[in-house]
Amino acid sequence: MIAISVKNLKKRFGKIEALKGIDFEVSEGEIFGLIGPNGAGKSTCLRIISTILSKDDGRVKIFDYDISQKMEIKKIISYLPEDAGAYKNLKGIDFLKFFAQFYKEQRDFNEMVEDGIEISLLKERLNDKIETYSKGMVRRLLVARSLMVKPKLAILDEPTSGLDVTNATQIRNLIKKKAREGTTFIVSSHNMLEVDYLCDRINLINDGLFVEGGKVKDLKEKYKVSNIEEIFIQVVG
Amino acid sequence: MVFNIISKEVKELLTKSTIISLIVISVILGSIGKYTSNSEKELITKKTNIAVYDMDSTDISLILSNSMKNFSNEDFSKKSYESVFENFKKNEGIIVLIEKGFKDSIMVGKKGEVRINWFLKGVGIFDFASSDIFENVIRISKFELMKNILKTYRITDENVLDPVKFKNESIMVKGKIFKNISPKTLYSTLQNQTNFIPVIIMMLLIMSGSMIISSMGLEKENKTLETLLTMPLKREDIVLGKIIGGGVVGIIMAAIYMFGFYNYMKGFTGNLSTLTDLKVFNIFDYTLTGLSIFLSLLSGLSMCLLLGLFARDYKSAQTLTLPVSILAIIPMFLTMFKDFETINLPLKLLVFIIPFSHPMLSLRFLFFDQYQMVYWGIIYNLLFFIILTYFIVKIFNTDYVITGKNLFIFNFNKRKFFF
Ligand SMILES: Nc1ncnc2c1ncn2[C@@H]1O[C@H](COP(=O)(O)OP(=O)(O)OP(=O)(O)O)[C@@H](O)[C@H]1O
Ligand SMILES: [Mg+2]
Repeated sequence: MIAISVKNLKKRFGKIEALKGIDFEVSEGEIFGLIGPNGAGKSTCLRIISTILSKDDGRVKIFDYDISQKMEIKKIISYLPEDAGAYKNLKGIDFLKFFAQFYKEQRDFNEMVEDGIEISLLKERLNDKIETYSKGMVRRLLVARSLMVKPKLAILDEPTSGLDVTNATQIRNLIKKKAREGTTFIVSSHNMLEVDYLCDRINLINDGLFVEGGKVKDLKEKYKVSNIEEIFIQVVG
Repeated sequence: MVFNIISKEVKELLTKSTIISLIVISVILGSIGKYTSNSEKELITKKTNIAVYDMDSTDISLILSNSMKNFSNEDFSKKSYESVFENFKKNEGIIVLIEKGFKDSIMVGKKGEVRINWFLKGVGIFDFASSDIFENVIRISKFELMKNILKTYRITDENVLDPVKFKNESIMVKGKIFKNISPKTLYSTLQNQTNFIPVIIMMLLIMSGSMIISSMGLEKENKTLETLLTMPLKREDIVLGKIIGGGVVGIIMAAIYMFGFYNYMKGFTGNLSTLTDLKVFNIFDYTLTGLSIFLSLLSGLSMCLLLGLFARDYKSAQTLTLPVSILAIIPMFLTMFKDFETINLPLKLLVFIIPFSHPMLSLRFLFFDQYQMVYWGIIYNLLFFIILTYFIVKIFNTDYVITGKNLFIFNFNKRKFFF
């Protein structure tokens, strides 16, 4: 089953043409990487897929739904914005409960919160206010928030940026684990090591245009390199 | 869903530290009120320092000096001028000098001269209030003196001094007649029973408004708004949840604040004798006014939310309550100085389109049985709120909430108009 289908997607912000016609497909259960330098249009693309930005042109389908069926799509996706923060005055646990409330029709509330607690690894710190958390703790809370609802599709915009190796690895392993359990992931990243480790397939975009894509292994063979960082430099640089 | 957002807003905005600081302010205000009310009481019961030096020493000057001495704490005339001077410089009081030739002047039809030197403690309201007491003493003593001078002309009928009695029979204002009352009493009765409303409205607006605006700023800064927008709920629910949530927090905070403010105000008005209750408003009047306040609050809060949408982050959100408070100040002052009926048409329109005018004017209209005006105000505010909220929901459905750009673009190709 195709989880995401994007065809000729275009988006401009005034004079800036952020997406100049992007195509890709993501199969169910895959971890798909959207890769590209700063300003390539990754976040814009993910925001359109998460229904919060409108597209100018092209077609986007999420599972069986057209992107215009926002409410249906929102029920099965979960989106983690780039550089997201949390409500600082809330306790971690209340933060999880607040967002779990919205999915009560989809899943049992208590199960969701239990899952959130487990994923976050924050244990008793969940009873503290979020303003007392470190950056890594906030990120774990946010990832827990987005995965506790067991979405069919998780859209994560740079989920590990700014985190240390331990925290980043924890989150990567978590994503892998959830993918095995059936969640489809679309992840954006700059970190080629992460992409190498995490993604089944990637799409390299630059300046709003597709430049290269495919299975990580195949790409390495095609360019005869040992890591994708070199591919990145070859095609973008 | 709406309730979930409301309860989150309350949890997020009503933190322990804000409540504690509010309570502290409230208590401080209350105790200032108590302090001022005590010093006012002192004024009424206290005798004052009056030193009278009678240089004339005649029967007529004696009447004046004795009458004045009656109001003094002690008889200072036995003490030396220098010691009295030093004493009054530290405390307060008046030194009265009755000039030599006082009686003679009066007897030849001229005015007798009395010199007064004032010693005041300061220039605050209550420092000056003490001068009122002196003025009163002077007035009473003068009357005493006049009575006695009349006696020397063999007129014993005191009525000559005040022969006319003016009786306020009725006042006709805005088609309504009030019996046995002076315009001044009418005015102050009306003021006493209605002037708390603008204060309540300003308080609610400033409290709730800043809550909503900063919560919008925070949501943008932390990208929680983006997350919220991907939740399976209608955007109307987010908008309403924010408005009502901010309103609830504002009402709670304003209630704490009002408690202190009420005690503070009591300090100023508590001792004034309660004026005749001309018309006590009934439950229906208060219900209408309450409804009017509530709807204008909703209108104000939707305005704040709209402004909050334009804020990029928490910091830039902070100053945005100002335009809304100014909007509330306009009708507050306009209606303080003039009646709605007596201002000119452009101003009338201005007052009418500002949502906060209606609750401020409500009780005054009801006082004159102008129910229609109150109904119109309520209808107007309801429409204002609905239309503005509809407008905000529209904006929530555009990219603007996320990008902060291109709010009013017309995209003809896609037939996607904003309006
Ligand atoms: N709100 C906006 N207003 C105007 N231009 C924007 C806006 N958001 C994005 N852009 C522009 O669109 C282009 C793509 O931006 P986008 O954020 O999608 O890039 P990105 O690939 O996520 O970059 P990064 O790796 O730095 O996060 C950039 O040129 C950016 O300047
Ligand atoms: Mg980005």
